Amino acid sequence: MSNSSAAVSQPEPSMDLKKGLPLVLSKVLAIARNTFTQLVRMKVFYFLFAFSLILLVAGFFFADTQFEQKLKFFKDISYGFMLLFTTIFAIVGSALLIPRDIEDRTLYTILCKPVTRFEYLLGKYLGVIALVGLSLLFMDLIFSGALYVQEQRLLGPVLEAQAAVPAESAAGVQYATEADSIRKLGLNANTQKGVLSIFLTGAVLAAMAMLLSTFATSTMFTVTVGLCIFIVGYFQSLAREYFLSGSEGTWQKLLSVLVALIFPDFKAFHLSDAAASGELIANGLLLQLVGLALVYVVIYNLVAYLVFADKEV
Amino acid sequence: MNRKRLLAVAVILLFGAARLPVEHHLGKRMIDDGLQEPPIELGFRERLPQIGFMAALGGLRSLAASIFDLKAHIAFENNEWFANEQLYDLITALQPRRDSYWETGAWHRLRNASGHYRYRADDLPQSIRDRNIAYFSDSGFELLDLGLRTNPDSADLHASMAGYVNTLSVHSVRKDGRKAAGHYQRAFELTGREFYERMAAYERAKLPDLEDKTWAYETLLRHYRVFAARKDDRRGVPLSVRRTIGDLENALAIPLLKRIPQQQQAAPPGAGLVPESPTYERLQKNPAG
Repeated sequence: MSNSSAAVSQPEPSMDLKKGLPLVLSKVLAIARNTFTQLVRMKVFYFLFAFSLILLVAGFFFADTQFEQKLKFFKDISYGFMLLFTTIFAIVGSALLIPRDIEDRTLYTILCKPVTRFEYLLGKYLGVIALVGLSLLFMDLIFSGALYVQEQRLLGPVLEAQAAVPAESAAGVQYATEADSIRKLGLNANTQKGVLSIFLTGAVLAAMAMLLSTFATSTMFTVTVGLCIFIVGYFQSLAREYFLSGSEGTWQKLLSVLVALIFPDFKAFHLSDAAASGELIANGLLLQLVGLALVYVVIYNLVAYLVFADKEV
Repeated sequence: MNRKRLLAVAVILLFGAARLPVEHHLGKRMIDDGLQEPPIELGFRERLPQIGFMAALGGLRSLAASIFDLKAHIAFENNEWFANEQLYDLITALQPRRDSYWETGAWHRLRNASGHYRYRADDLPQSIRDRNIAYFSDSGFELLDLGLRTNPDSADLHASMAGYVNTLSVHSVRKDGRKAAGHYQRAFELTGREFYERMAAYERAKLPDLEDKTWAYETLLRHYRVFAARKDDRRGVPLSVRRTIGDLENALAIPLLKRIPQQQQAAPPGAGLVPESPTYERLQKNPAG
């Protein structure tokens, strides 16, 4: 009896002595690892075969088109599917977790341990983000490799022809312009910045879906509403600009400001079009976007906690 | 609703209010920097297929433009010039900052469509062929003009426009030396490629004004000296530079002692005998084809 009361009154240690991490972090990471394993066991990485196949087809599609068309089409298709897969993983991954834990009664066994609901949510979120990040990394590796091969295949004959004519001649100028265009559209730092912008979209989307799943009644609800919010998020800027433009119409203004306040602006993170066109993306701007995404994630996780804190499970 | 849920709603709304100006500023900056396209006009909806409109408003605007570009390419292969024209109107509206779309669209109209009706459409009456030639010429120049107004700093578009109006090419659609010189000069200012400056000089050398001829003479003389100073360059001074300077020396009555030698000095056989082509069209654009 005395032993039992001593055990109850003993304060919880603040450090995980085995790993040398703060206990809170250690618990969050354990949940994240568990979540990631749980998602990976759903054999999600098989999608990479589909992605590779799409890239293979896109690479050989319209082989007789101009090099600009070819490279841009290839990049557009690749970014488009990266965004699609990231969206699916972020929404479905987040939507599946809490309802499934409730269904399996895993949630009870987790929450009856010294794990707060915030730690539980954060761990789940980090698990989903790990999946989104890793899958995007794999897609990026396949995409970058394929893009590099395409770029070299197109650049080789142009450089050869350029070397055979005087640099100041009409043909020389033409070949130099072509070589510049190919390099601009080929594999470079901007290509990776485009991928990073997709990751930021995925991070915000996963946080938003996690928030939805805290009060959702089913996985289907979270997935459907999550997709709707994702689509509206791309039009949010139109509503915001309408509101800020000072246009007349009380109801229209009210509706537009509500859309602008409630929905995230996913277009703000959309740099993949610019990356596909070979536009230069400034590091400063990218940092601002990383900061904005981080604020979104923190706020959405905080709100998710506020909703989940009193949820009866 | 309990207090925590009310607090959650309040946080969402306050966060929305706080990020509104930040996102407005970011969006504006991205459009100004050419990283995002300006919003498309809602009237444009009528001309876009529904899926294309959704893609355009959403995040797949570049992909929609690429797919329409491929469709335009198929239309080009099938000689469907009006379909090709419509598609390029859509493409340039979807991605107006991408100069290559304006350039390619104009090229299809000014070279391919016009050329098709001029040389190949034997099954059509001559009156229709003439009408279509004129139509695609006008349409091509309109597209290029609009492209230049949208992208005034695109060297490719300036060079492209100059190529269609220069006076030196048999392929020129509407000869206008002054306009060609202006666009070549702008392309030079934007890229620093001296070839464009020489092209501007060739064009101004042909204009009647003494001021133009003097500028052309001074510019070409500068280029001549640069070429002549390149001892290691066995290609010599381009024939066009030498000949145009010769013409200008006559026109401006330059004293004999100040004139350049018209014979290539110590150059290998054949060097400097090839004139600079006034056209640098897109014939080699596709290395595969």
